[in-house]
Amino acid sequence: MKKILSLAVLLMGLVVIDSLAQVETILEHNIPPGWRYKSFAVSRSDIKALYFLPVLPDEVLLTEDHPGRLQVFNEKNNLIADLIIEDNYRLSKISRNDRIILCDGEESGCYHIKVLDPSGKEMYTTKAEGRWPVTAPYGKDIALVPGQEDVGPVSIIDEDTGREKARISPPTGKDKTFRIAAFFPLGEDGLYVQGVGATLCLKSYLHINEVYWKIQDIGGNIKSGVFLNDEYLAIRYGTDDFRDHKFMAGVAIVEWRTGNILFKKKGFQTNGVQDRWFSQLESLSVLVNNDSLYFYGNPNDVLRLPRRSDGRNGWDENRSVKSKFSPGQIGEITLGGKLIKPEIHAGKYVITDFGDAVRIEKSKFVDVR
Amino acid sequence: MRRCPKSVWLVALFLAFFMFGLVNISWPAMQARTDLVCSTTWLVVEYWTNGVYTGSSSTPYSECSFVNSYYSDGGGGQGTTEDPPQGGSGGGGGTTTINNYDTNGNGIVDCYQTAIFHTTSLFITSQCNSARPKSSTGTHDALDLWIAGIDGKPAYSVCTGTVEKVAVETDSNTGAIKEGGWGYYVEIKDADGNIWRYAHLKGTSQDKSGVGLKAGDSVSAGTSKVGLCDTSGTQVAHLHLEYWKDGVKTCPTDKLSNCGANKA
Repeated sequence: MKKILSLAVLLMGLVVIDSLAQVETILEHNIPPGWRYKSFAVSRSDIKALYFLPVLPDEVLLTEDHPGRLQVFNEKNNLIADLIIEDNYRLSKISRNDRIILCDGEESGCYHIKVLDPSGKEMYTTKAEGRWPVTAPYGKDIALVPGQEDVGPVSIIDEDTGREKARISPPTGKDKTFRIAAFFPLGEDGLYVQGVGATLCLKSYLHINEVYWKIQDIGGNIKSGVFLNDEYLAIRYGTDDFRDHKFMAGVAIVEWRTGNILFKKKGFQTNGVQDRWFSQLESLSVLVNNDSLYFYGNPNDVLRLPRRSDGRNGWDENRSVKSKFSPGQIGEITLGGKLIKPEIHAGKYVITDFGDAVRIEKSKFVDVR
Repeated sequence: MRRCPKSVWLVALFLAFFMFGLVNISWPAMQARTDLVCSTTWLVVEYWTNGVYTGSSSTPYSECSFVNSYYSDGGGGQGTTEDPPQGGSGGGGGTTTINNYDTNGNGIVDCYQTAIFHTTSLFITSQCNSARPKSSTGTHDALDLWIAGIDGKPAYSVCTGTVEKVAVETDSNTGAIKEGGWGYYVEIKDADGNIWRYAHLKGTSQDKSGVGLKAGDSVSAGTSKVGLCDTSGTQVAHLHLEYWKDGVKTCPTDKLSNCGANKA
């Protein structure tokens, strides 16, 4: 009897938790007739952009030039720009200064980037030579960075003019493990964080002889990284041992100003068997939200790590809580006989494409106790 | 010359055997270990003012990287072929002893147009020499393949080999799947150590290929699934197939046999 009562209380608790999970819709918009939703971007100041493809058969879109359509919204969700984009440019991202960056490449990086102001006015187009734009959290630097498997230089361009300010060559190492695997422009005093091999460091293209901090061995070869916010970087690293079938995936959260590692975790795959952490860390499904660190690789098994309580900077794995996306956000919907599956965007947003309208909500996590 | 006592010879012989044994016992472990190797590289920064080159500066810099005999970085340069891995299920397709797609047993499918989707209605929507973007002079250097209703359909390996990587390309600013990138992708290393990359797969964080492939799994030409097709990283669902020979991106048709393709 006691067990049944406990179970009932637990279930009621879960229902209450779910009902308390109010989600915030940041944009809901009707899709222009003749177009279909493709992608979304938002800036720190809440400028939003939606990018649409024409409604055409796939084989036509794949083989013929076609325009795209870009709609830009201000922080109050008023439409402030609506334009047709030619030459196969697509929406890439919006910078901290609300510059809308378009890219014209596919798979091998951008051949060019086109930069617009929020009103949709083109500021410039510049060659990117098969690299990808990475914007800085401060200042006006945009880095053009080689792709995940590519070896090549990084260029720093000025966000307002597109003019190249510096070009950072790949290290003259002996093999591809010494390529630039992660690069983050910071926009202050020419600073950037660079990951090569297993080494991560803070340097400046204005003061080339200075290395402000260096982590000689972060724990494995750096594979990629992401800005968690303006201060923290998540660095993904790993080692691959094909001989013994042992693979390690790790993530380190690094404060870029100090080089302090605030959190570090490794997962393993041995003989094809992955532990709980391996896939979470390998896909870099991590974000910082309301002072907690979330690993959201498995939407039904999100892990929330609260801030450390001992005064030290970082997150406490020992107090981790099982969490999940608000079920109302990610559940499938049947509308007019059509199955609609919301898409989780970088863990931060949930996008629901209804065909004639698109809704973007901030992700809401609820603890499961 | 004084002769050594027999006991000295015996001790020496024992030590020699012991050392030999030690080396042989420890050698595989030494080979399998990943080692941190540091080297001095040169960092070069070029300065540009208003788009005009104004000089450069260089400085020595020490960086470290994990390497071992078996570490493979996607370039195909460092072989893993001397002792092919045995483990893994081969994903959703698994490995099978019946292989109708590689009749001569050379590890490459006889005809990629029929083998990749197990259908004869494959279309090549972008050739290696196609302009990318279509209005520019940049070339594709890969094949884009499409069949009707491709979204969610499985693609099969063109070669027999080992899964080198199962990954997703994400954006450094947002953490989202990079728009215009590979999306979820799988790399297979063939018997020659060359890499085949299959991009725009329907993956998830837990299963990036959509068919359960993991690094180190074995795959067979034409019978092992490498993933499910999707729109990840791209505008319209299709399969993007790259071939990296000796670390250089090369047109897949340099290796694959043509048996009369449909062109969309």
